[in-house]
Amino acid sequence: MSFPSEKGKIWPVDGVNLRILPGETLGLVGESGSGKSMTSLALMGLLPQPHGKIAAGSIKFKGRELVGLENDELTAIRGKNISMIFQDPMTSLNPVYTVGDQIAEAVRAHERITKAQARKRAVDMLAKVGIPSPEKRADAYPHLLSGGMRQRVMIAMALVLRPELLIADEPTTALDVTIQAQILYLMEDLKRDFGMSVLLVTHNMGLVAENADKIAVMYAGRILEEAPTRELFGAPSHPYTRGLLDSIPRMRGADKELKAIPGMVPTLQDLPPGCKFANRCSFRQTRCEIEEPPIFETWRGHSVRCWLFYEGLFYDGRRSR
Amino acid sequence: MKLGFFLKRKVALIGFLFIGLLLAVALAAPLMARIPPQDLNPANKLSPPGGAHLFGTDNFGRDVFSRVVYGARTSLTGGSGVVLFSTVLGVLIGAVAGYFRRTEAWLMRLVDVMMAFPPLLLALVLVSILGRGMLNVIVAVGVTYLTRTVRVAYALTLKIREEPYIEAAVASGVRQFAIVTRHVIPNMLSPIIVQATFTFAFSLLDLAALDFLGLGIPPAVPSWGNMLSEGRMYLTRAPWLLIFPGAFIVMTVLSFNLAGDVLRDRLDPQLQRNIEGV
Amino acid sequence: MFAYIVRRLLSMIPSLLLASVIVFSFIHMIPGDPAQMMLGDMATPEQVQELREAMGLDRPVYAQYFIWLSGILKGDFGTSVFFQQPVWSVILDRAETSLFLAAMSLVLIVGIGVPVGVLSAVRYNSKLDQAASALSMFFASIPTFWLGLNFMMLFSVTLKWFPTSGFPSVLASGDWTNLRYLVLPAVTLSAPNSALIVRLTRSSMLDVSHADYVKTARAKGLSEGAVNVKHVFRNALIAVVSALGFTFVALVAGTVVTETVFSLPGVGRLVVESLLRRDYPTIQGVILVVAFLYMIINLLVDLSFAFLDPRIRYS
Repeated sequence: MSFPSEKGKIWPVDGVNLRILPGETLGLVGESGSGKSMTSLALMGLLPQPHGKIAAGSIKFKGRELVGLENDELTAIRGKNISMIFQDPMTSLNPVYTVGDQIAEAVRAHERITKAQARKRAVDMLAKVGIPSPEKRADAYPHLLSGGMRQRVMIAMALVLRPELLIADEPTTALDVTIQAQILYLMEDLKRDFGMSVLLVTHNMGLVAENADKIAVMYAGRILEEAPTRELFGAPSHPYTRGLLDSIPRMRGADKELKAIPGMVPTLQDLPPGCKFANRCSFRQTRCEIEEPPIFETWRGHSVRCWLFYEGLFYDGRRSR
Repeated sequence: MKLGFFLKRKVALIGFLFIGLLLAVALAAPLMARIPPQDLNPANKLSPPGGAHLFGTDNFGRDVFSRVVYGARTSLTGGSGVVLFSTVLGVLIGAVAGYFRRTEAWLMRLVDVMMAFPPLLLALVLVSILGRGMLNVIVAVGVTYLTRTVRVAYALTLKIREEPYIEAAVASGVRQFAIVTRHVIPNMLSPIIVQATFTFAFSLLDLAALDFLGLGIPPAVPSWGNMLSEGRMYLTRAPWLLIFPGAFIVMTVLSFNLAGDVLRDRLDPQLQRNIEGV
Repeated sequence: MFAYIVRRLLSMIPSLLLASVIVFSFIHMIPGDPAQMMLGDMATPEQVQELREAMGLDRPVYAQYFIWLSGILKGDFGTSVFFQQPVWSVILDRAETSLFLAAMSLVLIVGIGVPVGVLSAVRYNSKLDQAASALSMFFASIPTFWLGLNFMMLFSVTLKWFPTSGFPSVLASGDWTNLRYLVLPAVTLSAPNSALIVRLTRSSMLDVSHADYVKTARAKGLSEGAVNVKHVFRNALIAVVSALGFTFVALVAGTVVTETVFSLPGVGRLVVESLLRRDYPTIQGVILVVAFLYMIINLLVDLSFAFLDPRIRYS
């Protein structure tokens, strides 16, 4: 995927390979600016226009190629088969329409039904996401609802057409901690109910630990490590993933020192030629700065983009302890 | 995107070049104009462009080119005067109204009421009070832009006074007056500069309109507005009396607008748009 | 809502009083004796003195102000020095031209400015957008009177499509074809103002198009057209409507110039003539009426927000 910039094209996301099975939750984890949001927007065909482009690659949905589709073909898929909820429910709802109207609008964009029927679907869906007195709330304008309620509305809007895939981009970051748990619980519930897949995009390791089946760690537009959740937390392999986990405060082993990863994320305009993490890595070798490592599979379903795993050259990871 | 981006820069560059050229012409007016702009030559009146008179002559046989050259002086002086007057006073008043809450109510009320008078009407009345003349016209037009600059400076001050560095300055015991002059005002300069560029552009239009209505600079002084006001009688017989001064006004105003646009992109992407609506 | 309107109207009273003081003191600072002006240079000092007394000019300034103010409260704006008629009827005589002119211009401004601005934003950075931006920048940089003179030269003198000047009353004659006299003035007056509305519409559309809820609308699977109309334009409209007060002021200033260029018998030209004739009462009256209209229009704009933006509720 590419954007033009003053220093030539930039490539916020490069060589990302992800696979989500039906009913599965994939956690996509990364710092801000790592390209995780761009990846999710690309899936929807919603890269910022007119400059964002998918320069090469493929997005397959139920066997159908999405890259290169006409915009109206994508429009038919958006909201119906693939839905998305965004980070900030305060700004993601249009202030001038009632929430009922905005949900009904999603229905009427894809199905030929009357206004009254669409409204009924909206009200039913509001009930399903746990909004009390949905009949009344459907006529409320967004600014009258709390942040948690608005995120419930966003979820209702995204799920009203029972999509097969839900992309949730930092769905709880803007909410109070107590509300976060409620929203995640609701999403988990509906996911099981509807049998859909979820792409959970977040910077929060704790969030994916509890909610994802599989985790992909993203950095500077690359996937550095991907593994089933237990495997990743049990045997984090990439130095970056280990750094991430070391920087999370834990209840157990509180005596262990919290470590911050030194250094800064490189800017997209001047990415180093080799491994993108090399400048901050304590296991750096000369090769890391010259040549970008390919992906090595260290275990079934566990892949790492790091030279340390080249020809069994393991470093002192947790696995060996 | 790139095409539009560079196109805009290129066009803006032409704008900056034209402003520079105009400045040079205004400074070197006596060298540029071989014929003094007041020289009457009734025998040679209303002669078309060409020959000795590049832009032709007017109804008194005065050289239009010379008058356009000296008119550049008048216009640039007028515009600079308006900008200086409205910006210096406006920033001071706006910052005071925004920072010292005691003065706020009545100062802003006054500004609101002044905004109810259309600028040109206000300027016309003020010129009638003060009399025709360069300084008076500058004050008259300056007052109409003053209210707008006060509004902008006031809004900026309200925003800036909430910034942590102001709190820090207050906490470390800096005197209030020093906070306004050393912390508040310097931090609003970029949007104010953008505003000043547009003020320059639009004030040229107002200054020309005053001249045209007969309530501007005295008719003897060569100004583009005065030339148009006089040339209007010869609309059909001597169109060059309208074309040259008019084209110079348009090019000058356009150049300043282009410059302002680029400056706004550089210095201040959001604010100006919201306030001025341009 | 009703309570809010009443409150706003009440708060207009001190503003109008302040405005009246400003207008009155400004006008009275204009040098020259209106009595002398009226009688001309041949009048004897006694005659002038007599007229001054008749006009109340010999009284202290504050007394003159209160006489004027109490007259206005009774609906009496004083008597025009030049026309020897009540100021109110002088203004009404001229109002027809200015109102027709302003209405025609407003139709052009909204009818051209808004659609072009919308199209420009939707086709951001296309050839069309660049052409529209360049044109609107150009028209915002032209002196209104010069544009008027050029139109006159081209369309009236050369092509003879329209009359050059004047405006015979439509209401008195009942002849609506007289409006052709106002076509060129209206186009002239609307050109710079449409340019501003184009730019404003375009930039507020672009601002809104980056909002998160527009992304949501796309993610729902709405078509581009529906996104642009229902979400982007609907929200951008708020900024465009808020510029109407500004447009009114620009129109008033524009009528002053345009009516002078095309020799139209309107209120704008009345101002210039009255200033040149030192006709105090008339200038005072016109300016106060304009200020009052401005405040009313701003109130209407604020009230319209209640319908455009549900976040705003007046109580």
